[in-house]
Parts: sequence; structure tokens; C-alpha cells
Amino acid sequence: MLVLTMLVKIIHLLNSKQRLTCLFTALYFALATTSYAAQETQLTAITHANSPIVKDNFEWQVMLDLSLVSTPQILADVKQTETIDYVHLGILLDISYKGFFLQSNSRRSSTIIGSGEIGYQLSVQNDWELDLIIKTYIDGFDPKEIIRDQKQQIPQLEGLYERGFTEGIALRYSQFFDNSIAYVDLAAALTDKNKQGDYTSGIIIDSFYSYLIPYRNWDIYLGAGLTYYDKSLVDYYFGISADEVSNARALHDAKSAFRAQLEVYVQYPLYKSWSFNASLTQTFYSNSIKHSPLVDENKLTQLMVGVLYVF
Amino acid sequence: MYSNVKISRYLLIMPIFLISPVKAEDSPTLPSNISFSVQPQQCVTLRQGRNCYATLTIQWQKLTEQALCLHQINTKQANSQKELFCWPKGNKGETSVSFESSDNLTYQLRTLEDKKLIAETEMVVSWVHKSTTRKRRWRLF
Repeated sequence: MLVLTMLVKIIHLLNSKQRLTCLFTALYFALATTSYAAQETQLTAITHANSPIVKDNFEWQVMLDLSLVSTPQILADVKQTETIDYVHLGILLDISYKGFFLQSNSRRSSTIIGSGEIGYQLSVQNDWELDLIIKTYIDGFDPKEIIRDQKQQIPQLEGLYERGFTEGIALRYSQFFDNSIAYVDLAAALTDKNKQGDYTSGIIIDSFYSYLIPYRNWDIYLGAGLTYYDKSLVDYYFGISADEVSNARALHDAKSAFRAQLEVYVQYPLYKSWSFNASLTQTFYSNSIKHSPLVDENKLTQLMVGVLYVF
Repeated sequence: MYSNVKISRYLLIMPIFLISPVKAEDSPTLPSNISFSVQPQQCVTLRQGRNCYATLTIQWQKLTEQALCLHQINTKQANSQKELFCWPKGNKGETSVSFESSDNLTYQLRTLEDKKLIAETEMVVSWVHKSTTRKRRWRLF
């Protein structure tokens, strides 16, 4: 875990462009050095029926997403104010080569809102897979920006320091069933620098189960997730330090927290390359988050309706 | 059946683009005095290789009366010809067919008596996502 934490620190110092450069450099070295390995692996796969499945070959998929999303915020009194706040336009990229991959979870509404994963397949078996994943686990927020966008005053956020995003490097274990998948990420996570220039690190355990019901041309995904956040991470986002105390915010030392999610996601083909997608996600945060002065609601319902174009 | 649509006899003899040429050995002289349509003409599925579902409306009109049968053929599978429906002697017909296939299917009108091919058209299956070796990951993620 210490090694993972150190890796997260290094990755954290890189911007998105540099991270992509690193990934493609790694892909280049994998290409340059494994030409024999590729043949060898294929032979192994043919000769031993119980041997591991060959890692992903070169595959790519680019999708353009346009959707309307209602996303209630966990922060007190923060709302979607303008029409544009409901509109999401994004490009989703899936690419893999020799076990390296960059993927967007296009079967979950959270990805439509934006979250990709960079990873490497450590082991690929018939029923399970072990991956090394790098992803953003928690989005940050800038109180000044929020206050500027909102139509009403939010005293709880005035003068509050910015909270950066949290990235993590994780081991992901996935178990495959006939029409479902369960995965669990054990992540060493690191927040952005705080006002004092310090990073906060902690553990995140993120699990999700997704069950696919194909009904005629529809795909219906039923999902349930449970995520654990270390105390230090919850305190970074929802704690109130002594120098942040105000009339609207009491000193608050946050404890570790859980997030539970229930989700329904549907997809329907409209035309060649076009599909309709919609989702409903119900999120529950544990009371340790609700007790923060920055939060007044720990049950959030997210709705998404959109179209996806596949290039 | 098909009583609410009036098509002039002149229209009936116009070449209809939905009629495609048939194999030479099957019927070298395809009659041109027939209109034959399948709607919709395309079924879209989410992923290549997956069954596509649709309800097809199949219509035909002909200048001369004849007893015809509707056949369904999957050219990817040998001997997969199925007779779906037969109309008594007449000059028009309409029926609904449940389509369920991952492959393109050909629909043919053949005479009841000698099974001579009169017209044919194809129902095309297309998809949103290409088939991939990363089935499990991209199916669920």
C-alpha cells in the first residue's frame, strides 16, 4: 500500500496530458518489447485450455455524449441554476492494447458526468480479472466559484478553502457472471494540496455490482454500489478546520463515511451509431457526512437522459 | 387487409427500388409488375452479433391475381428457408412478421404452386457498437 501511495503522489504531480503521455509511453514500450511475447501468449492460449485468457488486443471506441442531467449537490443550498448546468456534452474514449487500457464506463451515469480510468490488466482469467487502476475517485469543489454561480448567498461556503480532487491508484478485482459483474477497488487515494500545501491520503474501498437484463433491443442495467471513505479524506472535504470556523460553520472533525448507490441504466438503439440512454441513481451518504455543516441532505437522486453517438 | 391504401395501377407497374435482383439461377426473369415492401427496412441492435427485434409490415401488390407465399431466408445459414405465410389468390396482400435475428434476412414472395420466385427484399441488421474481443468489459463497462 505504501508503494501505491507513493505512485499516487507521483501521478498527482502530473496533469492529465502528462498522464496520457505516460500511458502511451508505457504502451510504446510494451509494443517495442513484446512482439515475441504476443506470439507466445497466443500459443499458450491454444495449447492450455485452462491458461489465462490473452490480455486485450488493440481495440478502440470513441463516443460522443449529449445528455440532460439533473444532479442535486451534496453541498448545502447548491443548486443547478442555469439551463446550461443541465446539459452535458462529452467525449468518451475506450482504448486498449496488450493489457493497458483507458476506459470510460459508458454504462453508468457517473461516467456520463465524467470519469475515466487508466489501467493495466494484471491477470485475466475466465471468471475474474485483476487490474491496476488510476482514476479520480472524488471531485473537488471551489467555494468561490460555486458562490459566483449561485443566485443566492451560501454562508456555509463563504471563506471556505478550496477542496481539490482526489485521485487514487487501486487494485481492482472483478468477478464475472453470466449477465453480471461485481468489482471491488482497493485504492490508495491522495487529495490535492490543502491551503498549507499538504496532501491528505487515505483508503477508499469502492465496490459495485451490475446486472444486465437484455429485453428485446433494450439493455437494462441494475446496479448497486457501496463505497468506504477513510476518515482523513472525509475530513478533507467535509471537516471544518479552526481557521475556517464562522457563524455559519462550527468546528467539525469528520469521521470515515460510506456511500451506497442504487442505479437503473437503460440503453436503446435509435439508429446505426446512435443510442438513447437514461438513468436514475439514488445515492445515500452516511450520517458522518450529513453531520458536516457543509451538508444538509445525504440522499440524492440523479436523473439523466441523453443520446450517445459511436464513431 | 390492405383496404385503406389505394394505389393506382400505374404506380404498380413502376419499378420499385425495394425489389432487388435475384440470383440468376433462381429466377432469371423476375416479373416487374409487382410491388413488394418490408417496413422497416433496417433493424438496429446495440451490439454487433446480438439478436435484433422488430415487427415488420410486409405488403405486396400485383397487376394479375396469384396465390403467393412469403418465405424468410438466412443466407448465412444453409437450408434456413422458412415459409411464413401464404395468401389465397389475389392481387395484394399484407401481413406482420416478428423479426428476431442477428443476421440480415431475405424475404421472398414465391408462387404457392411451383414456388417460383416473384420478388425479394432484404431486412438489414445494423448496430451501434462493434463486436469486440473485450466483450465482458465493454458489455458491462
